[in-house]
Amino acid sequence: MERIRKIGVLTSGGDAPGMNAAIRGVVRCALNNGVDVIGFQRGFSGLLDDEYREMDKRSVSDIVDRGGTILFTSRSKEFYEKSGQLKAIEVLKKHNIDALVTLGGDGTFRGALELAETSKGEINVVGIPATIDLDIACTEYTIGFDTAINTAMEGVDRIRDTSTSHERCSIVEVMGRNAGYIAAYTGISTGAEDIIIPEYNEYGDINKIITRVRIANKKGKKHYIIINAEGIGQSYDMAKMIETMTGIETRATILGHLQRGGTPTCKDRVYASIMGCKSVEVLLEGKKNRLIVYKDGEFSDVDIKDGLSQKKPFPQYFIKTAVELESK
Amino acid sequence: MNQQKTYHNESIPIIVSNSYIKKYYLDNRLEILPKEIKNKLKEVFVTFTENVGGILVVIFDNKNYNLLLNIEKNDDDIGFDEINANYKLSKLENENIELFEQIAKFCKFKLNGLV
Repeated sequence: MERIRKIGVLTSGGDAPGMNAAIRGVVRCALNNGVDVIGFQRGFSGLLDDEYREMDKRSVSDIVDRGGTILFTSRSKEFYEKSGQLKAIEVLKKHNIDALVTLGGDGTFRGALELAETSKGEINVVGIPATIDLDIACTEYTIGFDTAINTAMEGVDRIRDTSTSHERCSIVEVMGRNAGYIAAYTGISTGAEDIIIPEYNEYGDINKIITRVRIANKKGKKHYIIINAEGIGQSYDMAKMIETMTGIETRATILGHLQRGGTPTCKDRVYASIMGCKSVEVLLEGKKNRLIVYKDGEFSDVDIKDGLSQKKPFPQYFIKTAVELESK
Repeated sequence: MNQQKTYHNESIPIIVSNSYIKKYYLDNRLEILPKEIKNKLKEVFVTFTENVGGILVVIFDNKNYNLLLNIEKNDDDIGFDEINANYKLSKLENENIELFEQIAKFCKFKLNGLV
């Protein structure tokens, strides 16, 4: 088994706080083991354009506490075409890259896997799950999720103050793409009266919500907070409908990209650093096409294809807890 | 696991006219209807609630693909004449059969993501 001598690293898709800590983990760990690193800028687009920078220990100094990604990121349609894949392989070969470490979500890993397969095994890939949405089934943690839920929670706490002062109903839309994890965590941590997520529509039926808003208002409740997942959306329209139906002033706030930014929490910095180092460890062990995961309290790795094919149902205890905590 | 990505199931409120707060709501997916149709709908429903009072809710029945019209009142509205309101509601439905059928047809396709 030939030892790896040089790797590339890139960040792709949506950015996530903690990506920099992971990049630092990859670079420092690789260099400590005699493996050179180059960083491709702007994700797969930068790879195709051969936009890169040599990474040394100083390149990743003072970044562990920074949100975003020092390698920038993008979404590249060209990369997912055959011609794009072949172009990427040429670039990697030109730099004598043995393996590519990719940070991103499932789209990033599908692209990376395709690249490995197109190269007929000449290019090895490793994926580090970095997405605030926590929507990669094979891992219980993704870089950026912890920061995102803390940001959302703080945002809702602030909105609660003004919502109470105006005795209004507030709908707060949080990110998560088609997953309801950010909404669920935010809703429970802030004591929201309602949580609407794509995975559990029955509880989020607008007719039932309106009934609950009316009942709460009759009981003298001074505010009503609804956490709405991005996968449902239509928050402004929902607010208008609730206000027209109930007569209660209703406003919608979309937290948006606030949730992607900011300094990463301690958990994101630590876990991201570990995952960065783990990715290099996996490559040094000679493993091919792996995805770093966190499962049952342990950091490990799985085959990318197997990892991407897994499905996980939304944990019922979240729904049960939210229902139990409802003020009846 | 229910994968439906909307916030309502089979009964979808699409239009609301509230006489107490003088507000009118049209589901944003109906905004692409021709201006004349939207104006007609607003005229019909707002005029109704101005005359009768209460809150008129137009629901799209996503099971049977038709419109259901309901009239509600606030609990403290003791002057609300429920019998008269429902009588006038039936009259409204009869006078606008074609219009409501067209809206229901539109909703069948639009709200189910078929257009």
